[in-house]
Amino acid sequence: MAAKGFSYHRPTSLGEALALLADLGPGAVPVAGATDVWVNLRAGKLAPEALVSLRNVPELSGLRKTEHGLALGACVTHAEVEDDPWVAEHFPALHQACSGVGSRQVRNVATVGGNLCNAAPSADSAVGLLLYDAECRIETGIGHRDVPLTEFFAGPNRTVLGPGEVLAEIRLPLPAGRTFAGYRKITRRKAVELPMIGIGARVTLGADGRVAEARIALGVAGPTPLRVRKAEDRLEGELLTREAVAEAAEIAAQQAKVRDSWRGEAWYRREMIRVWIPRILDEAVLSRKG
Amino acid sequence: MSATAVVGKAIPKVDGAEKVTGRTVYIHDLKIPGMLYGKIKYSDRVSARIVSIDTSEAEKVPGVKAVITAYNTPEIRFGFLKDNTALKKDRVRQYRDEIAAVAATTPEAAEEAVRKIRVEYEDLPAVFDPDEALKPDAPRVHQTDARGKPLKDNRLRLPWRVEAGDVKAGEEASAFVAEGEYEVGWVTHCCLGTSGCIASFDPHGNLTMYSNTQIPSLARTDYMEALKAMGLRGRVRVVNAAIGGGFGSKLDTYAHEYIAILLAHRTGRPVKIVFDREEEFFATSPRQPVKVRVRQGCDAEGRLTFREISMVLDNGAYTSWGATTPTVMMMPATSLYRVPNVRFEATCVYTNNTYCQAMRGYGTPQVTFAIECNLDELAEKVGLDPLEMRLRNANEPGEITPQGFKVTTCGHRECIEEVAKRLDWKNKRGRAGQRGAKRRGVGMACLMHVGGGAKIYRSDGCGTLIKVDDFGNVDVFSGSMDIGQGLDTVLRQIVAETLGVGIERVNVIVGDTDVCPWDVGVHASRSTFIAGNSALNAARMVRDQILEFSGQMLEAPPEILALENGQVVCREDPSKNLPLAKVLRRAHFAKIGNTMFMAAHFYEPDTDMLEGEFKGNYSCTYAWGCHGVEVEVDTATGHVEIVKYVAAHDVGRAINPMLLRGQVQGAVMMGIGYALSEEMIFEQGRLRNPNFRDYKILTAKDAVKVEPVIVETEDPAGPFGAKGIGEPGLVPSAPAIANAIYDAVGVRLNRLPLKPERVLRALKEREAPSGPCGALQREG
Repeated sequence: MAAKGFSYHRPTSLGEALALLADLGPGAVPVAGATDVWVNLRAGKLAPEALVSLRNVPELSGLRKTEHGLALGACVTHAEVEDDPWVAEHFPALHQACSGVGSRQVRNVATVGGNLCNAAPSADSAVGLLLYDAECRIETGIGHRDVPLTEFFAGPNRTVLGPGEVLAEIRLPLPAGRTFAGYRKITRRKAVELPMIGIGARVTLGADGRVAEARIALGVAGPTPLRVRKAEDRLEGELLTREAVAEAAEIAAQQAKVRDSWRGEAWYRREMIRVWIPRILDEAVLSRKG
Repeated sequence: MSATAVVGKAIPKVDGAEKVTGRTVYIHDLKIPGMLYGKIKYSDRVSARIVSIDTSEAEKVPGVKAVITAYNTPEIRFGFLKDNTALKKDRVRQYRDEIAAVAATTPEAAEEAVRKIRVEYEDLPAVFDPDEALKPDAPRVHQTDARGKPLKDNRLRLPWRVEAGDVKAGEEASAFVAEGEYEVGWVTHCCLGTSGCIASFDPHGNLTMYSNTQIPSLARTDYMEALKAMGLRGRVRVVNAAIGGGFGSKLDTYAHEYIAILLAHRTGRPVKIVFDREEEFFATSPRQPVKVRVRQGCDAEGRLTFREISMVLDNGAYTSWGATTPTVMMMPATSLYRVPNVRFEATCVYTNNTYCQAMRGYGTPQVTFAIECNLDELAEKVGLDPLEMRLRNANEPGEITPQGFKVTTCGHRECIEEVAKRLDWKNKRGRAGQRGAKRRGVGMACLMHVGGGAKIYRSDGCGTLIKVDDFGNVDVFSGSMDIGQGLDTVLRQIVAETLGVGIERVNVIVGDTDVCPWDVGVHASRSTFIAGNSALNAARMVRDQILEFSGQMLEAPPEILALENGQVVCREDPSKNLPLAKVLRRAHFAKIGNTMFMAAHFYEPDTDMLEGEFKGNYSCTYAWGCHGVEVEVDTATGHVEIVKYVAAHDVGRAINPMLLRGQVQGAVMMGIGYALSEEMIFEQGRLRNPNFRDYKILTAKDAVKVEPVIVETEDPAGPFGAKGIGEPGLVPSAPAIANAIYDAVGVRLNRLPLKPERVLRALKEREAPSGPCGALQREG
């Protein structure tokens, strides 16, 4: 255990948390479930002067259903999302992404906001949220700003959060119209896994039966979780045919910046994008009909 | 089968309640007053000369009591060829080489001090592939052997070769021959309880080692040698804490144990070294990677004519028991199925990879993968159903195999038939007309293993002491060790049965060399058989003493007396029955007795030591089995799902069917992990995945419903007819799965693990051997 030499703070309001972070300066690291932070501490990759726990900040907790959609406090755990039937019904891809993280023990403490702030290219919840046009509310200490999730990541393990800033809430509009969506992480076993590739797809059909909105998002296919707009463009305005979906999947596979590493080979990651985008949409359509 | 009261009953593990309530004391929980914490500085280079070691900053860390290196401590050599040292001097040969160590008052101080040790290296060439290492100009891992004799290449001087019959004649008589190369990589034991020890000297220089070894008696001998090397003459006592998993990982002594001894001696205080999870992955010794070449043939009817196996093993940089696994691989190589002409040859090679050890199965999972996949290929050439091929060649009771094994009881055929029946083989094999991406297939593979000990050491014995108190409580002191396999439960059952008492009356004491007799160790699936026979014999001696005395008391011949239900029972006149406790007190206090009952027995099986030409009968009996599996292969992703799994084992007799099923289920999970998902990934000697996130041991969610089938053949040599079952359950999993994949989708995979990428690549290459294959090459 290399973790020592830092102070630990437990603010009980957002105002107190922001004030603490401002006082403590850039050496202070906000922490929620600590499932990533603690690993980095132990590995010596992180040596903070202070940890500021956000777990007791009420403004950051809770999962709220609004008339426009869903608002997730940044400290909502993966398990809270997993256990919510309303989320499972209206945001199935997010539900699947959150339910597959680590093990139940990890999901009980790991937060969705923490998953985003850790900004790993493999972040499961990020892919699920990208499919639903999530927007991040960032508290700056003197006010707040809203950033679309597509602009939240600045690179591997980097976000646009400045010193002293806190991700407070993630907002998702409820898709209008008939929507089919799903998330699949490609792994070798059934739990405690990072995705070798994370694949998400959503289509929302308009009144004319054509695809009004398409979202294709990937994890481990670039420096950050990302959307593949060219693949989305292939579907929007079209009828949801097998040919169109297969072509969109092919575009996504080609666009993906997948790499060879000891965790997985590039050709296989690409191939799984090809195979799973159609399967995800098939399964989503079938489950809605069922 | 004889009627029994306790043996053969599904009795829950006696240590279960303690374990699930967190009361079990592992090495991690032990604290001794004044104890220091030790931590090891490992090499930063894979192959290098050590130019200098600077420990000055480490010594300044508050709480640090000692910093040791090979330059300020006596040299302690250890390992099967004594080619390893506790601390490395002059050069390092693998990343896990121990360069220095610290003892401090807290683990944090020890860690900080280790980080402050500065080592200057001069890199040397390294070699990682065993075939490369065998080339004449390859960098040499060792310049000399342990005695200083120059070595001219990286080949270990080990005589692993056996030949019987006439292989050439066998080949000439063959109508069909199958030949193949099979490759398996590193996997590791993944014990939940990591390795560790506490070394403690008393003021007289006697050493107590608190340990979690599988070999208390042999470890004691090793530590005594270490004291000798240190110029000390003290006694050694090994005391085991509870073991959180063994699987062969604790079958040898390791550098960290000698380092703890050195630090304890240097500081005059007890020193504890316990591995963290990363160390458990990279600083313990995994199962060895092997490349196996198999050729076997048969006549026109499919009867085997010859089998020839040669293999190269990656030994890593030093030599532990892993290098001796070919002596056990010989067994299935020569004797699984009736093959008259056999040849087996194994070469162990030094490389700069991590050095290897024994792991559940002791080499047989590797060689059985090769033999059993190849047998399916041979069956296809003959045009025979693999089931029929196996039945035609199955081993039979009474045969003596080419290597000289005396097959006594043998349920091989019955195991195959059970699997075929429960898997619905006839209907499910070779299913035509499957559509869609997912295809199903069935496969099977067999195993043989030692079931009655294995004389690979000069003694394969085990001692037991039994004493009985005035109330009928029985203490059993066994040389063996419980490593989670259920030995303490099984010994209780055997002794309780023999003395006619309930198992709650019987206490088993293991893991203290001051108290318990000698035993060669927990390996070779030998404990139920060897320690069981030893306990059975000692219990019979106590029983005879009690009956003899009871005969005097009751004026009845002992032959008509028996011990049952806590009573001395007179078969001819039940009115003479007496409570056992009353007899015991009478014997203790009355003038006619003035005795208490106790007995000791050392059981040495009547078997041959495996050496020289490697022929002879080295186990009292052999265990047989067959696994059958139905898989579903997703042809679009290469993913393999297990649909049904049947594991039939000839176990002699199940002393405890509940534990036995547990052994088989756990072993099968380990076997499926070996087959489908587990691999240690080394790049240039560096382990890339030393954690449970990246090392793909199967999780509870991956658990497969296994149907164990217990085939009882009642072996006359076994305690109550039992044979060993500790290892067999994982041996045939990988070939059974590989054979089922072939049945499902028609591709043969000769390399483990059978991960989705490999399956899909094989499918794509079959579709377009020269076309889009280019797209499948590794992208830069």
